[in-house]
Amino acid sequence: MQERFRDRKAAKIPALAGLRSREEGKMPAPMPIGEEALEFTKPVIRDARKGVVSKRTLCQTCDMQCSVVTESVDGQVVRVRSSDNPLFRDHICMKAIASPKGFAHPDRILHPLKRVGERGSNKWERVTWEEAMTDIGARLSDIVEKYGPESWAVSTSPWNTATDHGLGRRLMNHVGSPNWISGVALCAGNTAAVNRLTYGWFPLGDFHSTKCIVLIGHNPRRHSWTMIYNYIRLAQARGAKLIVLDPRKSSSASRADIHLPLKAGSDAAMLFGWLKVIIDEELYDKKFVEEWCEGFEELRERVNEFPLERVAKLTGCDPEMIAKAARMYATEGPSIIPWTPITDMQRNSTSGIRLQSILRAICGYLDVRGGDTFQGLVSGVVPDSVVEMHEVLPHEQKMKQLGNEDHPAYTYRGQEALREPLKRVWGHEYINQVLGCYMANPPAVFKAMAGEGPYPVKAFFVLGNNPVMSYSNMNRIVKGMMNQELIVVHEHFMTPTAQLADYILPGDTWHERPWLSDLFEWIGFLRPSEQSAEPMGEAKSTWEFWKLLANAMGKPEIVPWNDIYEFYDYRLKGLGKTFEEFCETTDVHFEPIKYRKYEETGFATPSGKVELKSSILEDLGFDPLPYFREDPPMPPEYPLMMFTGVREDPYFQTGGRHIPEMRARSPEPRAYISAKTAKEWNVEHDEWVDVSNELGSIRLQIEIHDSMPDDLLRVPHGWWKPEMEKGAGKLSGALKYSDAQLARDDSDYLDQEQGCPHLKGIPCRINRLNTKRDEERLDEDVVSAA
Amino acid sequence: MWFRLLNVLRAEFIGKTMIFLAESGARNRTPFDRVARFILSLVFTVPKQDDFMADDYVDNDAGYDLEELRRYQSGQ
Repeated sequence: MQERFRDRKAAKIPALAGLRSREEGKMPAPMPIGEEALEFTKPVIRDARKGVVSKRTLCQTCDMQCSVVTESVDGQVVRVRSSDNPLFRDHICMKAIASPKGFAHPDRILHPLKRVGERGSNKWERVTWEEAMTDIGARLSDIVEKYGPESWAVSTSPWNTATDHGLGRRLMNHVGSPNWISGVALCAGNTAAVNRLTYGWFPLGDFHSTKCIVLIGHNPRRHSWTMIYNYIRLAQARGAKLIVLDPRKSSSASRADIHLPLKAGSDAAMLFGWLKVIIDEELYDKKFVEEWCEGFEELRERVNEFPLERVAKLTGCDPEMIAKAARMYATEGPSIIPWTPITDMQRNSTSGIRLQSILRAICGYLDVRGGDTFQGLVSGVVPDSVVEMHEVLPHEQKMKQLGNEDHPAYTYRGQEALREPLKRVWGHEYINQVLGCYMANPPAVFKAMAGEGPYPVKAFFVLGNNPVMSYSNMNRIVKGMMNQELIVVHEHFMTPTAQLADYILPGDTWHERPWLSDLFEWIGFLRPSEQSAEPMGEAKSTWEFWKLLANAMGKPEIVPWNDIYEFYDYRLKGLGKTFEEFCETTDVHFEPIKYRKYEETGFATPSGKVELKSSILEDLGFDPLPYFREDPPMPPEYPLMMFTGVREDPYFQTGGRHIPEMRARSPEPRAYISAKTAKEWNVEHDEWVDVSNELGSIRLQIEIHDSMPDDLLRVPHGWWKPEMEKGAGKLSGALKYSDAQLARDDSDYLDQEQGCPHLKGIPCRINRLNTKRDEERLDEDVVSAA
Repeated sequence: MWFRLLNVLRAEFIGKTMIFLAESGARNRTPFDRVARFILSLVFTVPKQDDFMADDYVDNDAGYDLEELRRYQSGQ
């Protein structure tokens, strides 16, 4: 009755209709980039309940960094709730809410551990931080002395470790190692590096003012990429169009204006189709192209190789719908194509990302209100890139970076030509946007670790990530780790990677540390995060770890600040505030964005223009124009396509499966499949099966799901079970469930320019569990998991 | 012209009524105040199915009990 009353009233009374629903865009939640958000920069503090201490923090469970409030009682965080600032209200998901329990888990590592048995034997003894760091420093120095500084590799996830702030790169640069890798090699970091090949920067979509949003495979949800989900819903509520390219009928696809159900891995072909329509029908911004773009005629010739009939065949989509979507993007604008991890993980990733860049450029949507804007550096604040000190790493060491000969796009070699343009436009020669612009190539590093590279890698440091399961060809990664002389892991839990370490050092959590974030020089706003509690046990921050390591290697001058607060004071000096003052006075700091900055400085490319035909790729020996490599022939024994790398709401990557509330929501690794395909493979809902390809086999539970197209299997990412047997040969179920065992790294399944793996369209097959032995083993696993 | 004038008068009436109801609802003393609150809640409450940010897990969260959390932490 209530609803009927409201609808009736709303229909009759326009003044009330606007107040009916958030769907209609009345919520004051602009992105903090424009003048309309300036009134929300100061802290909003609600009176705390008696005995409760509230702190304004940034959630660091995933890569979104939502502004939240922690509530502590007796020094322990007991609640995480949404920010009181209207600007950030409702940016919270279940992972943040469950974090107090996740960090209070009884199995959390709270003291340094040293391996005492064989590697992977899961035998440990407790040591002090001093004992650990003294030994680590000495052994690392010996390895550097014996094999060269490049024999030291580091894998980290700064999203989680947060306080790294470039100190790791700084120490590596001073020691002489270029071999830093991260999951950002196939997720956002590589996008940043490839975007810069076209127009010198990695843009951020202006969700607040855009009129059309294109989601390529990406599906932000209430509990996954929450902030982006809210921005998209608000944009739709005020009338923005949504175009979704996704093989699945995802939740985003189901509310899109246009859904193009393209074949997995065919993003680049689809975008060629869009360009064909936009160029043929002259829907592009001719003035911008004439004044600011190079290589348009060559691009037009390449695009002409992709008539819509061919694109329709490559993508499996209706040519009329392709044309309609292209027209909507070009004419309903300003439009944005937000970053998508999906194009990052394909055989044609570089071309796909470049085609997105080209669309933004030729349609005139670069650095305009409602388009894809150039932000990143906050004036008056020392960026992480400056802390990293890439200039001290000698050129010959940079050229030893693993993978830079075959796949240079995001290595020092690939980004070398941008040094002068970056200095000209942004004031620094090295700007490591999203940490992805000066990386080694992960598969090349793992080959070197396994003794198959140009030189050996013998020391492997892992901070806040789980590399055994986070890159392609997991078996080679394990082989490489077993071949190491020193592995140090800074972690919360006994992950499959930690189980193979020499030392496991306890890491702090985002409840337990202060932080200062500009989202890795991608967004133009700076936010402080207050420390909510003291670290549990002997946990230390990544910042402290690097300082202790610099000291242990006899290089204390590399990290001259006494503590992280002094370090933040140094970074904020240009704003005339200490970190403490910044926290007290500021929820978010930014200067209202200036549009079309390129009109004063040019673009940060060698030519100063948008390079539709990339001079950098040409000089590196690659095709300077985007292209499309088709799938290799399907092997007859693996006739089913799968895609992997998919996150589930309760988890972030390989983390979170130890939290009871989260596990209850997603207790088992489930493969999604359509009813028709399930019937063809003779499998049923809830049935356990093996999914295999040339590399290996993993066990999954079948879920017949309406969202799935036929002939495609969706494999979840990052599955292991912390309660299962630890140590080499088991790795807590990682060897049984992890999708990384099926992720290939042979040349047919690597992008050429970057060397990132193709995860969206891998041939596989489903094997039913026929033998009694398998079923018995499965029963045991289910019992132990329960 | 008459139609426009009528619209203006109607908007004015609605505005005044809403302000009156808000004042009364904020007072919340008499039975009529409570009726005013009820009317306002009918107008302003977003139905759950239309509220894309509504979520039981988030909306019903009251945090953890410290003692329970500590027992959990110690493996009990």
